[in-house]
Amino acid sequence: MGLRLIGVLAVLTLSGERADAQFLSHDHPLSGGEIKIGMSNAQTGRIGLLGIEVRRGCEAYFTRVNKEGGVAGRRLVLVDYDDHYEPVETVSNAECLIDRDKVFALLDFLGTPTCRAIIPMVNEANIVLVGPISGAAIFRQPMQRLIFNTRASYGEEAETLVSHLLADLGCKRIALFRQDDSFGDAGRVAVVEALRRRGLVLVGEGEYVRNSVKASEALYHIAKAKPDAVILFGSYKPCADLIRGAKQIGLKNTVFCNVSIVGTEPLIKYLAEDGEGVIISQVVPSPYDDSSPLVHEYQADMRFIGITDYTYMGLEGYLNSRVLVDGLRRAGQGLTEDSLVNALEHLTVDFKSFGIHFSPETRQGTHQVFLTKIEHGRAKPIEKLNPADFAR
Amino acid sequence: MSARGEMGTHTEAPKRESDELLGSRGLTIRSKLLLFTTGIGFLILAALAITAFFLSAIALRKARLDGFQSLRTSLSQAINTLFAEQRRDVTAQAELQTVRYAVTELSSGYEHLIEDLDAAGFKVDPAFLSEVRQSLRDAYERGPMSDLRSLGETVGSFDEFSDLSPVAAILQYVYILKNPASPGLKFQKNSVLDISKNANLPVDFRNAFSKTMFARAMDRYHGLFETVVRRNSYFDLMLIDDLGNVVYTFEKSWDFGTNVFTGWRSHSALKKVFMGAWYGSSPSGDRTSGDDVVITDLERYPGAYGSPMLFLSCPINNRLGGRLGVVVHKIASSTFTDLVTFQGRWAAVGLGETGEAYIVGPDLKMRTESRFVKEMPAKMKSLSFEPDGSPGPLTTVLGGPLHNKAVENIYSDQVLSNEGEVTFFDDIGRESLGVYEQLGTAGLDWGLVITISTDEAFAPAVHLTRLIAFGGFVILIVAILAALAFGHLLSRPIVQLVNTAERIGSGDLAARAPISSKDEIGFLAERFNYMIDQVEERNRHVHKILETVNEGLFLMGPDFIIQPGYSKITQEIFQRKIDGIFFLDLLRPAPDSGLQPVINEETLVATQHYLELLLNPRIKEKLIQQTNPLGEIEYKELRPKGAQYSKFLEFKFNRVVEGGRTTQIMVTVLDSTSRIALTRKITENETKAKSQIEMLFGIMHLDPPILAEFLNHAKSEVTVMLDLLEAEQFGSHAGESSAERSDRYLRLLQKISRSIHLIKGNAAMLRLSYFEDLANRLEEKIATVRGGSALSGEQFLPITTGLASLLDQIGMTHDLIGRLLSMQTVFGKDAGEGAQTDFAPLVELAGEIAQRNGKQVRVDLQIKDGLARLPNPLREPIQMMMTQLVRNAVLHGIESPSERLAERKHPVGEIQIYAYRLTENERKIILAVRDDGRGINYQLLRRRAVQLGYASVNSIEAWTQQQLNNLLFETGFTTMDRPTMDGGRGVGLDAVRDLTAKMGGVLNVSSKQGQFCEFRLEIPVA
Repeated sequence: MGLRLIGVLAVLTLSGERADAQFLSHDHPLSGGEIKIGMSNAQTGRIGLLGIEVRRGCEAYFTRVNKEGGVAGRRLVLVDYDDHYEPVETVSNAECLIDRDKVFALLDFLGTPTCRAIIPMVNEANIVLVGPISGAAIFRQPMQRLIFNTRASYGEEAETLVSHLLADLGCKRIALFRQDDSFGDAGRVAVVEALRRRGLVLVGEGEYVRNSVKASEALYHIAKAKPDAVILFGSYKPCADLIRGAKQIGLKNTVFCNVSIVGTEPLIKYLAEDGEGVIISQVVPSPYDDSSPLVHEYQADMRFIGITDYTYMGLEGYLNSRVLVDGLRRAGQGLTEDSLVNALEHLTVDFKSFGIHFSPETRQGTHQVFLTKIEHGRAKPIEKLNPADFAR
Repeated sequence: MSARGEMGTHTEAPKRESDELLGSRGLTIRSKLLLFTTGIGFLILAALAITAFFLSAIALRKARLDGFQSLRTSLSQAINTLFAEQRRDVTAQAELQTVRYAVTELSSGYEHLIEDLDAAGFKVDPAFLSEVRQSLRDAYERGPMSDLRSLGETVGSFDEFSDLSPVAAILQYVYILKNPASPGLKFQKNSVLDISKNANLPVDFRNAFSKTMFARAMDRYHGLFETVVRRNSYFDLMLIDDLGNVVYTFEKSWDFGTNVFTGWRSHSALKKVFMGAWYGSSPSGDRTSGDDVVITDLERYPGAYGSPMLFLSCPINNRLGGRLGVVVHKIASSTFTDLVTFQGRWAAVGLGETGEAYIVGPDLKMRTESRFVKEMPAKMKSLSFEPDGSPGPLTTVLGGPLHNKAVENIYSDQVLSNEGEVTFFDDIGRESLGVYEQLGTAGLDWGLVITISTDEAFAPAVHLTRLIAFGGFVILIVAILAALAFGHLLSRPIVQLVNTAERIGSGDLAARAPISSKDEIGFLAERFNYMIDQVEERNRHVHKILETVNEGLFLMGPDFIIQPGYSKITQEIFQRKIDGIFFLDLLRPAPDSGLQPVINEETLVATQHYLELLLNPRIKEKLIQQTNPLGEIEYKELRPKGAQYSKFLEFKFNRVVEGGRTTQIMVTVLDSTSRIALTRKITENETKAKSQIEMLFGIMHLDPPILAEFLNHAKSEVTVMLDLLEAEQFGSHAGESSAERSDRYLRLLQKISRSIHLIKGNAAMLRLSYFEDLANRLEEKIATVRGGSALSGEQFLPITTGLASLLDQIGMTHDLIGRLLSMQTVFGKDAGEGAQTDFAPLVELAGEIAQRNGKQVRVDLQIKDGLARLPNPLREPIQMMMTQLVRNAVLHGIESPSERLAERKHPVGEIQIYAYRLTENERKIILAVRDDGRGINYQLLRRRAVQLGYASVNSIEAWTQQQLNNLLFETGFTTMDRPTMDGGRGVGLDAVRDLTAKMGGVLNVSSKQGQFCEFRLEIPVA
């Protein structure tokens, strides 16, 4: 008994005495004529098709920059690891990138749970992360000094979807399909908030396990609610499974609204004819429409590395790389993490209809959300939802 | 209805037909039935077997897959439950206050161990540490390092590999190396008491160690954790403090006491799971289901000799959210292998002998042990190690990646759904049936495959098929036997029917088919018998008709061959069997027949022509029947003893038309001999009566004395002739050659001939046409005999009869005349007182002959000197001679009127008959017959003489007129080519010559060609 008391006291004493252990190196000196940029995302596995596209967009731009002489004479070197969209891997990869590979900055980490896991690492290692591909609030509220968001938040995507569903189509019975982790949680928060503002609540909710592909159980819960519309916070396979399953069991008039992270092109691929009329909110302009200077350059740089399949994810990866490189360029010769942060937080990249603008007060470079609808196997930008397309 | 069929009795043709029938018949009903049964049976059997196989295979597949799917569902539930429970447990444990205390105390004890030992009286000097390290090195080298090397891992030196801090070294030294418990049981004997008594440890050290805070904390919490581990069957439970020191493991393996950032740990899942939990896991109070627990996939874990281990971790937070450490669950593959192998009771869950369930990861390597680890290729297997580090059996866990469709489908990006069923070849090369799915375990992208070889899966189908095939075969055999029996039953009456038919075909119309059943075949046999009855009945009718009918009745084909089956009488008529004979041969002489036809070639040709016309369908039968050339055909019937009779047959022909075509000709033969004989007899009698009347009338105009004289003369002549014939020795005289005999007969014949001619001449002169006819007929008979080449005695027979008949007639007339004479006496009337002279009849005779020969004559009688009535002895020969001469004059002298006109003569020829007494010598009478005709044509005479062989061509020219004239009186010499009733036989003038010579007279001929011819007789008068 006495010993236990001592133990308890010891716990209190020790925890007070000792700060959290530090496992990551804090300094990221540049060596040689290169700037190493670290990346970890799913290159294989259940959302592998997203990571590949992101990396391609990144490589396309890095190739161009290196071709043009690099950044202030330094070559850009991309060090990338596959994390299979599992946080434990992302943590391991990030540790490896920071401690072993000594990268200067992190780029294009993909996914909410994965990016979320490295927030403490980013802070601990004092390393910049540009463009976490997630719209979750945790990267925005509170503001993370080292994390620069180049995409609209899930809240903004959810708001756009909900407002259009209500205003354009009058859908009030809205259900949610989500991943059963921090990503899904973020989506849930976003949708619930958007509904709450309109005095509505979710009529149904279904979940699936991250990196699983089946949505049958979720479909059961969602179909039970007989929703007018379903907002999906998930990756392409479970989302496609749900939409197809829903159409098979007769939810033919239900509007399905995905968010950007779903992976537009893989979703279309897996849904095939079931994809017609499915809504996807996007955070970058259409990668197929080169009227935007960003898209024009993206397509040109992709073509340069021999790829002509343009994708939303690829464009996002490309955009993030541009933002990072612009920051690096602005930071100039005496490049440090702090100078990069400083450069980035004053960075504005304008592509006419679309732009990124940071400030010391905000790391949210854009709030733009684009609505698209799958038509004839392609995501077509739309201004609003046309009730005629959704025979109700 | 074929006439031939009706008549077909005992012949060859139907037999041959039935043989052909048998030949073309081929298979018997029995063999057909057998073949049919067998064929159908096999077809049904094959269809049944195939259908059974496929249906049962489909059903089995479905049942099997349904079973697999429910198995899959329950297995995935079990596995997910297992991990969910682990997650929940590890989370709950991380929340436990005791665990917070434990990690804090152990961490604190760990941090202060050296000091505590020092305080307890044991100075940890380098020498001790060195000794500890040395003993650990040995254990490491023998154990994990050696095992890892054998797995192909790069291990490096002991220091690099283990990188043990002094504390770590001391803890492993105490709790593992020097722990007296057996390997794998090092979690025992961990108490302070145990350590203080552990003889393996130096006494001062163990006394000091047992007093340390770490030893006491271990002592305090190990019991608690042991309870937790045992209750939950954990493999291992670890606590890692906020510096990454592994301050507690239940199992006490080589990770115990180490730091996760040093040595082999820095590359291990242990560090990953610690870091993941440290950074990635949700802070307590903000736990979301997906992110609260960190889990790593199964990896080779150096801390367990390279055995695959899986870790779950959850951070231990203090109440302020600060991290105290991490709870880690270490799980060996056996935990879930046990789940999916059902403790080896595969058969109980429907996996039989070849089925199994296994789990794979995204690297396509197995996460569980395969049931067929022995059969697996070597590259799919790897070493395993016992808890003490000694080599264990080969394992498939984390062996080589699998390459089969089921596993590939789980991780395919090409399809939306990563679950389903598939028939595929598994990694040991068996064709298998399987279901697969992604398990959907949080943090683990695992797939579950449940599979069984198709051989086994469909074995019941194969068994069923075999059973059906075998059963079906047995049934088939029975069916074949039944078919044989049935076929026999069925075919026996048919065979009997056929046999009966054949017997009937061969003529046995009495044969009847036995009626053995009441079915259709029995009915058929009955009807067949009835039909045969009918046929037999008709046949009998036909036979009766054929037997009874009095006519010859037969059929011949278009080839004119007589067909079998003819009326009975036919054979009698022709006196032989005639079937198969060419019809025209019936009309030709047959060497072996007693019946020889008398028919000329023209009739035969006409018959053939007629028969051909009969076959011509365009010609109406009635039309040509009139032209039937065989209305009356004479046959000579030779009877024994050389007797010969005439037989007259009448043939009638009728077409037998079948289907508009003449297939046969029916021939009716009528023996008309008796009818014709009757007709002839009647005709003869009529003629006879007529001639008697004629004779009666013919003699009325004559003076009875003249008639009587004629009759007497004729009678005497005939009698003489008959006497001569009677006197003649027919047959051979001794020493007489046939030529001599023939010559003798010829002379006799000439005598008779001359006598008859004289009788004929007298009859003609007296206009006794009846006698004239008789004589003429007799003459014809004689001529016929004379025409023959060699004379024989028999040939005189008809002449004899003819003469006898003539004698009868003469006798009859004589009687008649006698009666008439007596009547004359009664009536007192002298019939003989006519104005007629003896020469008057010559006038009439000439007229008659002329008329008969198309000539016209006028007779000028110049009878003088009282010669109108000749003295009696002279009258008859003179009349006879004059008759011949007048006849000769009319016949040979006088030309036809047209000829005469052409010669510028009066068409009426003139014949002058002179009779006067020679004045100078009244004892001679001159008789002459002179005609104004063509005269004697001496050239013709010469030619005729040469023709008839009187002289050669050369010598004839030298003949004088007198010599030529003499030829006229030669017997048989005539200038006419053929004889007529009036002459031309060459006998008239020779008779005149003979009579003249007999009476001692002289006969002269004078003639001038184209003007006249005169025969002059000088007859002396007594």
